[in-house]
Amino acid sequence: MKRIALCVLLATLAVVSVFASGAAEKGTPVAASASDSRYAKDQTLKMVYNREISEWNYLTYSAAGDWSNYIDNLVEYDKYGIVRGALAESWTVSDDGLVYTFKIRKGVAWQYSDGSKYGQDVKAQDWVTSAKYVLDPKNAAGTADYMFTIKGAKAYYQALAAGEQADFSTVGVKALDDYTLEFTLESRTSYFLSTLTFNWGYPTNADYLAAMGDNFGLSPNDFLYNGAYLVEAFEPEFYRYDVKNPLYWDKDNVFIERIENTYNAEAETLAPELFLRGQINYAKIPTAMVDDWLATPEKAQYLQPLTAERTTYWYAVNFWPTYDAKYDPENWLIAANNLNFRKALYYGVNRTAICSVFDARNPEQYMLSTITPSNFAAAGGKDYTQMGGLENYTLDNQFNPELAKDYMTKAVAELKAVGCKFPIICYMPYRTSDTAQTNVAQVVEQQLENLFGKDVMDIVIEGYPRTDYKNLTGRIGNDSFMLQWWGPDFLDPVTYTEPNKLGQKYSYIYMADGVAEAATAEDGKKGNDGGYWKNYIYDQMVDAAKAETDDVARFEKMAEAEAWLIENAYVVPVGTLAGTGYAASYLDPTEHMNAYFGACMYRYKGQHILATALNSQTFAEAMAKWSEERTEALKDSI
Amino acid sequence: MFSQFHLKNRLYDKMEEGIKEKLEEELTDDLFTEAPFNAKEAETTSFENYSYWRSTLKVFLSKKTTVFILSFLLILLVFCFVQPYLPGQKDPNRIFNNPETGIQLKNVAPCAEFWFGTNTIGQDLWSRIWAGTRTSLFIGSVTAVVSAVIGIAFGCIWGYAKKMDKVFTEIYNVLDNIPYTVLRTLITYILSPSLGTMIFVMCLTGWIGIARLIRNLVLVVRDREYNLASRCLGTPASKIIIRNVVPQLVSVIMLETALAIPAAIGTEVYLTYIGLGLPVSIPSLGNLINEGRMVMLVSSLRYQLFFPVLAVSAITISFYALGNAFSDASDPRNHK
Amino acid sequence: MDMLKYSIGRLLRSLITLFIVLSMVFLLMRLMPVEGYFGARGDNMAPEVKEQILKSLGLLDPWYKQLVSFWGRLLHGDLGESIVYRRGASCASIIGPKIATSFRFGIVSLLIQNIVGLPLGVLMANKKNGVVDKLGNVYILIINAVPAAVYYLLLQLGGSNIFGISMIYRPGDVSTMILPVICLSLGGIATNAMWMRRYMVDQMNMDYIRLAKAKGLSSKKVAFSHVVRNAFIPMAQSLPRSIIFTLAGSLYVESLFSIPGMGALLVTAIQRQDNTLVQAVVLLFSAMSVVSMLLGDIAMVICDPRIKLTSGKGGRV
Repeated sequence: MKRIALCVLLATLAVVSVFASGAAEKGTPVAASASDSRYAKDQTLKMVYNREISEWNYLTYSAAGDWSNYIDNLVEYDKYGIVRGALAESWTVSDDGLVYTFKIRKGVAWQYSDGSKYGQDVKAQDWVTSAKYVLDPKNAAGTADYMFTIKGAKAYYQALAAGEQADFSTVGVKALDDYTLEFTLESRTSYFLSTLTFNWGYPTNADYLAAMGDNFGLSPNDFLYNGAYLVEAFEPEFYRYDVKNPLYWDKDNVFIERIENTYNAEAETLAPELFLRGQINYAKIPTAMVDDWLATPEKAQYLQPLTAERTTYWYAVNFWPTYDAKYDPENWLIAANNLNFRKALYYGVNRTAICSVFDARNPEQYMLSTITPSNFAAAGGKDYTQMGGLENYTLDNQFNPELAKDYMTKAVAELKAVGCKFPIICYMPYRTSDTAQTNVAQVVEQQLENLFGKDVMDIVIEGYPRTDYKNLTGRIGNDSFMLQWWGPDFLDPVTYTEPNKLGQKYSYIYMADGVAEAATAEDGKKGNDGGYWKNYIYDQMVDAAKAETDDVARFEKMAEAEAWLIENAYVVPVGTLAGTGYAASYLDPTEHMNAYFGACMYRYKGQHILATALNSQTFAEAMAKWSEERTEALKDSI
Repeated sequence: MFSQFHLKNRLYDKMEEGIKEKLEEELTDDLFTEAPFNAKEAETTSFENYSYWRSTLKVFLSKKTTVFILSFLLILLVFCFVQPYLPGQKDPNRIFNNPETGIQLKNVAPCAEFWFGTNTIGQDLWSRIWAGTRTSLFIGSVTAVVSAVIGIAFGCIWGYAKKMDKVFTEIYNVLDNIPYTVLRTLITYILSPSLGTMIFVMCLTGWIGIARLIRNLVLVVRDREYNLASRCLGTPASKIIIRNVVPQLVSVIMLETALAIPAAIGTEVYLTYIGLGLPVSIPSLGNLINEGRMVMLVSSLRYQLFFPVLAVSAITISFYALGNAFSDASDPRNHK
Repeated sequence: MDMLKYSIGRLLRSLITLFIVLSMVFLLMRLMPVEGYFGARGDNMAPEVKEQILKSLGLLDPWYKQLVSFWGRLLHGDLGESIVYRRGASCASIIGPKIATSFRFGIVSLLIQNIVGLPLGVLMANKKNGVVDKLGNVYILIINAVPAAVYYLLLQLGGSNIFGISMIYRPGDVSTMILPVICLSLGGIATNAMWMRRYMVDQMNMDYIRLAKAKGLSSKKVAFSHVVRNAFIPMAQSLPRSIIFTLAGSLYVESLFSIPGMGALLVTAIQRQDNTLVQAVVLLFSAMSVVSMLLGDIAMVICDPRIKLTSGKGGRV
């Protein structure tokens, strides 16, 4: 008895002391066997995640992602970024660019989650069903806005929202027969195909939807499948297992047989270690760990740089400060309306310092001096960010402390004359659930305060932990100057004009002095502040651009609108800060569908599990090969 | 937390027993010799050369380890508050940048410039740990004092007013039956996290246990003969409570207060872990441990976890050891 | 007879306590932000739709009306439906399997805590200041001084590395249960050992032990036949609580090891603003607390002949 207890005790102590000495490093990852094939024998993708899917009703949810492997769209992007038919076999566009007619693939069955057939095939009518559902305001679909390029869609939606009768036949979504679908657009929209990969572009079987009623999309068993994968098992906050759909129309291009997602609340901390031990085959490597991984050869061999997403981040000056009086929002408004003050902020924000929070090795690659990222869109052989005056801002990173101080000196003199109190308190919320953003807030606070002096500007940062961060801060004017972000929804710079328009929940620039006029409900548009406004310069510029039918002219004018925002320093672009950093992975990113938005970003179709992980060198080789092939493919597609 | 309950039980059991035993020992027959009446002596009161407090203190300080821990804790406390004013100390929130590149000095290992290294955004860990210790000790002490005051007031009334006992007991049962972690999490969430919220939620639950303890002790002390006598003589209840009852409870209260500080640090670590901790601009031990945990997998960054854990452990062990030593010392049987 | 009378009286009091506790918690929940009733779609909902939802959930009624309907539903066993966590699923169906998982881990760990902790305490007390006692005290000190969130993570990384087992739990694979159970047990072993040791040391000075020793019994025999046996009486009171609260799971351990238990449910539900689920979990925990106290008292009465079976004196405190 005594001895046993002693042994137990000693063993425990020994174990504890061993752990303390750092046994965790010597994990030996399971290297794949020396087969000459490039791909692993076991095509099972294993991952850990820490954010559970809460909404399975794909029609209502605005974020793409989770279910994109379960249902297909009309079109998809291949690995070179070329649009290919998916559920549409082919399509034609009318000469005026207003009518898109799709021939729907025949014999694609609707299936239950266990893979058995529902008894009906996917038909043209299924997109009409989706459109009708999304455009019904009572379903509160976050995707409705994306449909407003379609003729009559907006009017129909607004009529229903106002409680009036509306006729769906006025909306430009029609099933001409079972396998012919026709979209009529409001105006020529060159990027229309890319909007189809958003959630509203999924088909829905009308009979099934009607039978399910409110229960549609409650769980993975409550919608019908036609995509590459089926949900085999799902326990929220535990696991989600997907299997390849044996009836999938394009099953020859689906290689990963199984996807095992295991929930772990500490996934961010544990994933790198799990990867090293061969328990998972994909892990994001947190910034803090990258240096250590790069310094250790056995770890460095797994590291591959991530291609940053096209979500763009910028600091927005708020002209509707609604926050607590103790931070003096009135005073902020006076300062915000001073051009020199805004310019001081514009030249004063050190983009390198911000981006190096995300990746200290190469902060430049994420930096942006425009809202629309470079290499996103081009027309007439010119990148969008080199048009309409934007080229003046993309020369360098725009951080210029001396110039910033000059502007601030001017601003202080002018502001003192109009009774502005110093220091100007700048209230800056940040998201606590996000370590990087927490760090950015601290970096910017200190950097600006040091630059201008605390007697001129006092930045107060405050954390908001909750999930509805944006609703508690920027969207209700609860900030002076804060980091905003926006991801593209389709392949056209128009998508980046959305956040700063009147009526959007992101920006109150229209409330700045001399930018728009107050209006009434009759002649104005409702802003998110609740008031009515008209003649907002930015909106007018964007609308003028949209009216152009030629892409070069359209881009030129749109870029002018963006340049106007930057020139007046209403916004301070920072960079593309999402999806930055490194991953350790057995996936080849060049096999991935090449899209910056929509469902294709999340699809595993076409990907393999590699036998050996890509390291920086093989990654570079793969990228080079891919670029070559892409050039060829692009030639062929034209 | 783990041992408070047992410590407390043991303490008041022993006080009770000790007093009984002492009475028995002292009241031997040879004390009762016949005394001739002396008018002068009748006016003076007898006084034995025994002071409970002096003896407690003597026993308390007689152990070398206790003295060591006590001085360690005192030095720690003093240093905590002196540290920011010492020369060469850094602002705990300041991010240090490389003067040439302007990029943050992230994850610098402990060196001559940064004694405990820097964290993942380039703040000095040495000054952050001291600032964190200050914050956590502040939360702990405020919580301890507030809980003690409310707990004592409530406990005294509860124990002393016989008629109210049933009512108070039911109130206690209700409050005690909402699990504390649930209550803390919920209230922090509703009020949104801040220093004030954190102290508030800890006080909200902290006093309940003390009140119960005090009530039980008061029940024991209340019906002692001298209090009965006092009551017969018409002394107001409030005076009896303050003069006769409360002093008996001081050792319990001291112990309770000492244990509340590590308990508060534990709660803070928990609240930070679930994302309801203090904002980053206020360094605290909970914040530091949580930040350290995130980089724990990288052996070269483990110092970021090691130092805050060291601070928490040192404080916790010190307070527990002192609590133990004090409960021993306050046992009259150990008095010489 | 007395026993029955006592139990019934105690039960009734518990029911009253439970009623008050649950009502208070319910009212406290009304202070939660209303966003928690709209779920992921809340962003795009028109104010009228939101109001409609609040109305259909009865949240616009005065508080006493809400309380009455809450009790009505609760008596029918209806805890409501989850809004965000698993939209449309009944809270009971979410909680049920999680409770079972937590219980499986908890009960094994509870056994270990007692089987290892109590003998350890006896051993430590037997030779006060001996080697075992000193090592044991160091162990207890470490466990209490190092934050659990830290040493669990160390155990997980080190343990899985040394024994070559999975870092995360996989249902059906017993080897993946070892580390979480060890983690869950460490604290309890320390508490049990410490309690037992203290109890033994205290009791050794008691008159009845002195008498037993004077009778000529060896101290080992005294320890086992008298002290250890008596130690189980106070344990009887805490045991029901220990067993019932294994249902609540452990936040840290379950988060680290991917165990789908109750531990993180409350926190997750709060973070994701699923008000009905938060309410269901809080109610459950409160009910567990009341019931375990009731069972503890009854067990105590059964075990300890010295306790008088009257509930006159203000009740248990």
